[in-house]
Amino acid sequence: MEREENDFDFRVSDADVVLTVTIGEGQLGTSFVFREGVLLVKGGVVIGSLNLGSGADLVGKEVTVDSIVNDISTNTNRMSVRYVVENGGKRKSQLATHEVESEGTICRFVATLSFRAAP
Amino acid sequence: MTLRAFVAAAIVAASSGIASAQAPIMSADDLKAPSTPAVALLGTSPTTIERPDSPRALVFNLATSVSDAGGVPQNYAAQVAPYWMRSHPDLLFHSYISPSIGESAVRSLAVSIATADWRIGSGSKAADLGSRLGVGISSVVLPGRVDAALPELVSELTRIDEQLEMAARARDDEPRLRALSTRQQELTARLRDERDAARLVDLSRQLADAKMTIAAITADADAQIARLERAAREATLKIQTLNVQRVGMQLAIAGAASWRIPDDVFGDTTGERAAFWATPSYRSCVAACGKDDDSKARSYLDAIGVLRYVRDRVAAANGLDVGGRVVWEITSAFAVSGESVGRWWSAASPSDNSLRAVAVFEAKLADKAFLFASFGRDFTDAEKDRTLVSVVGLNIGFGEKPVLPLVTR
Repeated sequence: MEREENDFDFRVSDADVVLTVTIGEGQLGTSFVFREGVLLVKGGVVIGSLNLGSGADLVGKEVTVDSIVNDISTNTNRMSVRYVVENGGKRKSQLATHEVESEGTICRFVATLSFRAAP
Repeated sequence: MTLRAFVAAAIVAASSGIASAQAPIMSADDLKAPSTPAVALLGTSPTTIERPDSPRALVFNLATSVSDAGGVPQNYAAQVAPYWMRSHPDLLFHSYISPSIGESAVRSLAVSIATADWRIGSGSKAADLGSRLGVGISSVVLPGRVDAALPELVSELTRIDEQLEMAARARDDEPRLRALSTRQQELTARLRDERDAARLVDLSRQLADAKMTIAAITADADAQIARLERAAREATLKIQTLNVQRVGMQLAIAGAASWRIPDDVFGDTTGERAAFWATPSYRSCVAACGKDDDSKARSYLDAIGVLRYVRDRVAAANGLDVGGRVVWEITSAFAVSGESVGRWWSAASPSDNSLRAVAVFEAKLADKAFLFASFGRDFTDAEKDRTLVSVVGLNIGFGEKPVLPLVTR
């Protein structure tokens, strides 16, 4: 199983933080969202609008998104997972990408999302 | 050779990809929209077809081929799928597997290019006249739909993925493993900085012990992860197969044009041939279609239409082939089919109609061994001396492509 690890920083205000996770490139997979090691939710290709709590609560804490992505597409070996964070009317997107070596291979995407207080 | 016979031979060569003195028997399969129409129109058999998957790879590939050949590369073929040359992070699985007509046309669009040596004569009398260049496009306009077994397979893969995630996370979170990993990192760092021989030996022994303990602790988890990975890969490949062997209404189209380049001087290029293919088809499961049925017992009925138009600019001749084929794949091991192809020629010579109508039976004996029997009548012109087709044979992986799938479902 191949592995793709990424750390992403987000600056947030006190308002609620909403996370959307999307597996792209037409691939199939499953994502798990953990906050401080506790499973919040598991979902498929899209985990939409997951409220992580207020920005004030999240500052200094880590959210981990663990995704298992399967190479379903016969057209490409590219894989991607997009992480979109919405907070106080602002939207920030981060993209993790990987290309598997052979057809039908699995890649585990591990993204650590860190939150800091917006200036 | 009459003009009509010449055009027939040219069109057969264009469709089958094999130019020979004797026109080969042409079936409905040979008239299907080709995946690399540029190659089909030139009638060449390149050893490989380059498929660069990014603009950078395409430029590099072309530059290398031109540089290696010192001009127009000979017997070169390449195919690019523009849509798949860049990343699509917003393409979701559902859209990929069930595209609309427009999405399918764009995503399956492929552009092919091929070159060939332009020679006349053979042996010591052969004369090199320059090069031939072909350019073609192909697309699947109607993609059909994925077999009804898909949702069950997707659910199965999701279950495996969840177990895999849990197993991988449990392995990573194993407390002894965390401590040992930290210890391993410390020992590695100390080993790097240590200069005393006796201490180096001792640190090496401690590091080896830590690695052995890690291997022992993770052995069970690694075995479980490997087992789940194999199961996930198997389910993934099954879904890929379903996506390729789609059912329902499908339409593939292709077009190509070729040119002659005398003495490789592009300024003197003249048109050679142009062709258009359309292949509408309908595939349906007729027996043992349930998700719990044995996939090897599944029975499919295929109705395939073929239309091909070829314009030979050199001979100022046109050729049109229209036909159809019905294939009943009784199981994954037996199939019967019937086909009829009509050919119309219009050129400087009088038009004439001819017809091929053949029935075929195929039985799969082993992975790449097929017994086949065919009976019927062939075209009256290109096959003037043998209009009766009556063949019983054994195909062991060479020659005519079997109807039955080579890979067991």
